[in-house]
Amino acid sequence: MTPVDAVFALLFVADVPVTAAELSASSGFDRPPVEEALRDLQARLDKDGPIHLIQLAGGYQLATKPEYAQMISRLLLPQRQRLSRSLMEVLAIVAYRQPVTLSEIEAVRGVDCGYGIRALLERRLVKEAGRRATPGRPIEYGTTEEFLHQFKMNALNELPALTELPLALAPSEADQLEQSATVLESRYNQDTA
Amino acid sequence: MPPRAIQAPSRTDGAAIPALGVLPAAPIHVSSEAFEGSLASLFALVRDHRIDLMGVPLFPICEAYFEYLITATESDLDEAAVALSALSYLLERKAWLLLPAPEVDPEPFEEPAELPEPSVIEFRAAIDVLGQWHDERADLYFRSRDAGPNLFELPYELADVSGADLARALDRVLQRAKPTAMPVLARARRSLAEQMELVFGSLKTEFQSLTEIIQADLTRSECVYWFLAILELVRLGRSRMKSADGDVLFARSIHPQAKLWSEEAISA
Repeated sequence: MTPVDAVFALLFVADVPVTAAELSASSGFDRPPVEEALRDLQARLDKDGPIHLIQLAGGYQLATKPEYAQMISRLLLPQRQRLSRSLMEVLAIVAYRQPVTLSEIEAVRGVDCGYGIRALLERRLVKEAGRRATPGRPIEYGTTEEFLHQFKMNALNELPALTELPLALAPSEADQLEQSATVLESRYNQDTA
Repeated sequence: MPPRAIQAPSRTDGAAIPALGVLPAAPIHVSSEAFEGSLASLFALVRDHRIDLMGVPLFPICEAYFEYLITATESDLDEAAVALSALSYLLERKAWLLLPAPEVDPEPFEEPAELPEPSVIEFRAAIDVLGQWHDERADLYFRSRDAGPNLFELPYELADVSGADLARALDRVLQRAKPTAMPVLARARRSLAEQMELVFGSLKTEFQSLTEIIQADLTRSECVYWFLAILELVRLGRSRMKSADGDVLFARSIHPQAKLWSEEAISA
């Protein structure tokens, strides 16, 4: 039995993300060969077949490839639960500012967020992360592993950076504007000539 | 030509007041530089703000009309009242126009309130990206938590035991039971899971009949409860049974297929 086969078998039966340490403990192989086996398996599955290995919520999990999604959804008839804009705002504030209290979330949004927090707690995307040592000892909220899983992230450091996004978009927009200006200028020069 | 008012002949001619009790405006002709027409027309135009009353000198008109009222020998009192009302209205309107208008202070220009800092706008781009990732994640499917084998669908071994054998075994243990009065609306003292734990503890690896397994004095309902628990254990593969000399014998399963509730709780 090779480490790749062992890891594959363990990942096949696991219904939650499994860490390399857990795979190592279950399979009896040391950590380095398990990690190498994960890389090999990932490359092998990416190459062909309907399954691929992804890193989610701090672990590894087998999942079907996106191109099979339509077919599978016709079989399983999943109920897609899209989050409303207000819930997304609350979730984003919790994700970026965690641990954060309800009043701090409301200070950012300017509206009552009690419902949003309750809805996110029910969906297990947000959890209570203790109490702040201030008067009233308000509850602090943080995101869960389910949040990472639902948003295809391995860890919180993969969250899109707030300050980098506009800068990342700016050069392409600037290029487009510059190209448009060049075209207009050339046309204007032709007309006046 | 100075403005003047001329009283035309009365049109009511002393007739009775109309049913509505409203008299038409007196046919007084006004002639001035700004307006020429009847007093009724002037009244209507002023009321509808279609003429600038400042351009119509009212004093000569009123003076001429009062002179007419004093000198006229035959005047209709109602028509005169209507005409005086119209003139007083016009005078009031003009008086208001002549009053100095109070200076209206301009509305102070309010600077637009600054957005609170921090603002949700800061998160807008990130929310869009997260929404996109959420949609992409929805296209991935994972092994379900419920994908394992269902305990209640596992095959179980009946051996050579028939339903009738089971019924006779139950009947034998019921005959030994002491019927006691059950309290009304009594509840089961323990859940089926707890009962299965108890029954499982009483089973041995060697085959025993029900009467041997159930040593304690039980009521009929307790006997049924024991019997149902042992059937569930057989169904979950934790117990096996066989037929021997017209009785059914039960024993612990050597290779248990499923965990009991307590074992699941311990492993969790």
